[in-house]
Amino acid sequence: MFSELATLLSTTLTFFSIYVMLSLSLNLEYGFTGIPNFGKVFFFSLGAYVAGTFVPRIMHILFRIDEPLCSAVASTQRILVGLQEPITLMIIFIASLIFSGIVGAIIGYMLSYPSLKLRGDYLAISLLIVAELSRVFVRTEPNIVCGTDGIGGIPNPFISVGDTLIKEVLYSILSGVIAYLSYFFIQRIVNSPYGRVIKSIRDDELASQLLGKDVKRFKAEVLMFASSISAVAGCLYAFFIGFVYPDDFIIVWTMYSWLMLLLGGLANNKGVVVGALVMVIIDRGLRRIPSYWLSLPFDVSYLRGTIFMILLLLIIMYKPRGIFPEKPLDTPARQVFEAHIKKVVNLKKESPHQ
Amino acid sequence: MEFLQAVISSIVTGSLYALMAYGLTITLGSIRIYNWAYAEYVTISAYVTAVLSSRYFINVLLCFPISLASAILVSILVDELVYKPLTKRGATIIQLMLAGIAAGLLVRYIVYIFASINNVVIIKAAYASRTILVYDTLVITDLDVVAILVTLLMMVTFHFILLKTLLGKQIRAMWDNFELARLSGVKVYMVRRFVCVLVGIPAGIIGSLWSIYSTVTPTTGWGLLLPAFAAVIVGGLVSIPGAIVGGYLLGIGENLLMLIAYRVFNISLAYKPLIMLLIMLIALFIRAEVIPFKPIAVNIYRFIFKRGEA
Repeated sequence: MFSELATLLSTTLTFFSIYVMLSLSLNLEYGFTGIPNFGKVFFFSLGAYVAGTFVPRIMHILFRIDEPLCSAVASTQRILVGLQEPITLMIIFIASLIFSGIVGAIIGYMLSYPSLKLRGDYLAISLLIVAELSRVFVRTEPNIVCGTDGIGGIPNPFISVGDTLIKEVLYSILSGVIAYLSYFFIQRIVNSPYGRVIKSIRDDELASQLLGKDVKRFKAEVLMFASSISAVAGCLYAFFIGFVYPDDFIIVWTMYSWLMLLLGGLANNKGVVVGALVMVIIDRGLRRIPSYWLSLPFDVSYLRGTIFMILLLLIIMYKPRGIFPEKPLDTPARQVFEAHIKKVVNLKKESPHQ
Repeated sequence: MEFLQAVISSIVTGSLYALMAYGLTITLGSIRIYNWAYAEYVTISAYVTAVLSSRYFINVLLCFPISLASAILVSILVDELVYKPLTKRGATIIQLMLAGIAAGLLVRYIVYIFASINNVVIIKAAYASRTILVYDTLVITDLDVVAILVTLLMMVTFHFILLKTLLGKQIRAMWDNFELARLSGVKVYMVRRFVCVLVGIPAGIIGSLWSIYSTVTPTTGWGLLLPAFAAVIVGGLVSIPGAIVGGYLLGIGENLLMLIAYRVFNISLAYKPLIMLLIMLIALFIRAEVIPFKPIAVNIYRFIFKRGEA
């Protein structure tokens, strides 16, 4: 019972951190800068593809595995090698995290270049189509992640610990730390002069251009940061599942990140974290239903999708800026100002009859 | 012969894409919505044709109007329940787009649930297409002919409706300036319903053609929508001739260019979606004036035709 609960909690924590990274990066893009990114899943999948192409190939070179890359034998061998060589595996894991971040940044920057010259909706639809057509491409091309079969045997970096439970707990803690780092990073960006510039771009692009800000550069940089964070999330996901399968990365991921963003509220990082928490609880909870209470005649993921989409439609209709939208910033100047106002109010209260 | 076959299949797929892009452009132009739920209209009509003809043994020709009606019904329902309330609340185009994708996915999940309850997740209409012309290795089926003819017929009809009727005039007025049209006495929401019907018709036709041509799954419509949207981007979002040209261009790219790349450079046939992506990205680059297409074209034109005048 205890071990089951611990497994459930650690899985939830891992997914929570992946969701947090996705929704926070979307918040940085749309909530703070006003770039509608409908290709979130593309940048997410980039990280997973980096893990799926880079890790097995480098392991085959380093440990001299002769089997063909896609075979089941090779994937078991990769896991066995991972059991024997924990330190090398850890180095590969960290390297692929960094590498996926870099790849995400480069491709995000490249894609932003043509699209930011056009209207905002151009960027949205072109990113969406790039995401979906690239998935179709990766699925049909056998040399990237083995086409339709997907590539398996990406060993969990803590696999040498032995116990499955401790392995999962360690991995979830690690991903939680990475998610916290990205939260910290985004929070720092947003509460700095840089953040004020991107917010001004969101509110009035022309005005910030007139004040001498290079709007396109700022937007491209924001897209770069955000796609790098979501690529890292994809890499974490690939190592957690241990398997990269192109048809995992459908548009549903994008919609889920939008749902988390709106559950939290635009331009409110704490709210978005709460939104991701709500989402992950519903998600994991619904996955447990069939085994405990009732048996459905269809896959429970369809039910989950239906519930989430109805929720999203309701939020767009009744709370289009999210449930807890942005509040005025708590800057030192505002603190001084508010303290002053309080003092004035208190003075008035103390002497009602002047 | 292989080349000719590729030409014919590129015309067929091109006309399907163009027809879909046509529907998308009309919604985008007149009511300003990126209609991502359009994919599910196609899926629904494909399912209706496939299930009716293979489970209830109804003739395909009889299924055709029923599937058309179902696509129109879904189109109107989505508009009434999702798009219209949002527009009345003054939603931005991004919110409308998000709502469109969400509504489409909702319909898709409901289709998934019904299909898996009734065990029809993968299904095909009970109709074997006949070959009407065989010459060497060139094979033309009746489906190819029907697809091309129906597309041409639809385009002519749409052209007639848009240019010659009062309804078309009202739609064009909305296209140019929504507020002005409303103030001039166009019953905007009534016209909007007609637009939904106009959009539902090509979706129904494509869906039932596809269910005869190939197997139907709940993601069928989505798979067809992506190239259609790429065609809309190639054509420049709100231009109908542009959408048609974009559709045929993508059809040619998918079949003809792919064949040439396969034969000449020995590139794997898996790169079909990549070619579509490339065409779309090049169009995007030209539109963003990263590639200075216009000055080059103008210079070439001047060089050829007006050399003497300068």
